[in-house]
Amino acid sequence: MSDPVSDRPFLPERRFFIPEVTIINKQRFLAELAKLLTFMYEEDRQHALAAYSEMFEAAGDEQALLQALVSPLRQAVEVARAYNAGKPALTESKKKKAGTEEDENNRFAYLDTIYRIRAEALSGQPEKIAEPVDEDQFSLFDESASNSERKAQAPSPAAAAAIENAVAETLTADWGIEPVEAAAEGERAESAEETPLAVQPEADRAEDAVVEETAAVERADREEPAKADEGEAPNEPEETAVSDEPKADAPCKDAGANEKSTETLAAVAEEISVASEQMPARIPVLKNVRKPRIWAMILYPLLAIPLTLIGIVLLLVPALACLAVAIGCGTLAILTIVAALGSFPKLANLLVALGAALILLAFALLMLMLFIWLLGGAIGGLIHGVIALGGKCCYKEVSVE
Amino acid sequence: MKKAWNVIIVIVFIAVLLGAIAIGVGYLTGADMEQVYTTLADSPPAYFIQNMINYCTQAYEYTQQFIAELPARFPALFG
Repeated sequence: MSDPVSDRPFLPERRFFIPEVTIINKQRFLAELAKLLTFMYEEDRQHALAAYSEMFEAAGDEQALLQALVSPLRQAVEVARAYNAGKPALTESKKKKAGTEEDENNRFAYLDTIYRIRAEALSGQPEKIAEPVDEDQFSLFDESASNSERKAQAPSPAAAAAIENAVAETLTADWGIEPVEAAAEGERAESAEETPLAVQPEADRAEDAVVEETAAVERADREEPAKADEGEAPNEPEETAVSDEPKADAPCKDAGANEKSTETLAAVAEEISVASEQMPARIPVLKNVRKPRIWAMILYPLLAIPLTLIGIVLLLVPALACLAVAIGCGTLAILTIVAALGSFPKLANLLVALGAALILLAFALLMLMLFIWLLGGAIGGLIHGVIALGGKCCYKEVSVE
Repeated sequence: MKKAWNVIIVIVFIAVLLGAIAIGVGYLTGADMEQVYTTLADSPPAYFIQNMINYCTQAYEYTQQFIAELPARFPALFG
């Protein structure tokens, strides 16, 4: 038979520990959602935000929930669809008679949508356990005692079966929302109902074993923080060590953390409501429009065209000079190479002539590039700049709602 | 344009370097500079250069003469 403690499935380690960093994410999510839901009635909007806040509270892994929710905009669209679907029905019913049950159902259709989203989002992850466990209760989630200790204090097979049943019950009830004490009581009741009288003493022994196991695990829980402080588990990540810290006096601190997180959530909800009240009812959308300046459109070409022509001519002169030099040097280099190859029988003289021709060719290439730059870069840039300046001078940008 | 400039500058640098190396090697291996000069002077490059110099000189003289004759040609302009 497998060890029920070591072979248990994955369960959340930090049941009541909510890091401050994730609260900021949640706060941002709720704030953005509050901004996006301004189309709703204030009361409905508060209901929707409260539902999302509860969703975060119930989620074990906040980041996973944020990923499942995708974005505030998407949630706002979902809520808006449901809200708009319920609205016409409300209007029709108002014409007939307000206050019927059907009207109420239609009106709160968006809440059904939110609960559906919540069910979908939380289906892939364990929900956070809301109820703190008493100090003397058996904890299924703390991985503290070593295997040797567990084996030394291993329960009897009947007790192990009872523990496994308790684990299964806890798992089926949404990852342990049900308190352990209630589960144990339910187990006891079930065993009392189902077990025949002849088997009853064995069930009692199983209960005793469960109690013993609980005490052993709790002892181990108390010992583990001390071991962690002494550095006996260096391979464990730092986060785990941090998460284990509250386990020394887990119930009290966890309860405190829960209260603290609830207070924080309440503060966040209050901030959201205040921010939404301060928001303007309608944000104006500004659009930039270009308006022509007539006088500039008349004057600018009169000035710009002659000046541009003068500039082009001034740039063309050096450009053409560069072209002439390039052609001259290139021709001279080629003629030198031809003359050297035909006239010099001595290699040393040939090398000198070829070296001079190569330098001339390089100079010709440089002059040719300068000509291209003056023609394409400088003159083209001048024309482009004049046109761009004309666009700025002849038009002005005006913001129009 | 900047990339083109970079490429051209690299090519020019390599060509100038090779030319300088060729001239240096030729000079060190016993090139007769006077013979090179006289040979090139009697060759088409020398004629080309001479023609270019003659053309530029004539153009300069013609421009100078044109400018000197401007008042006589256009008395209305130069009073």
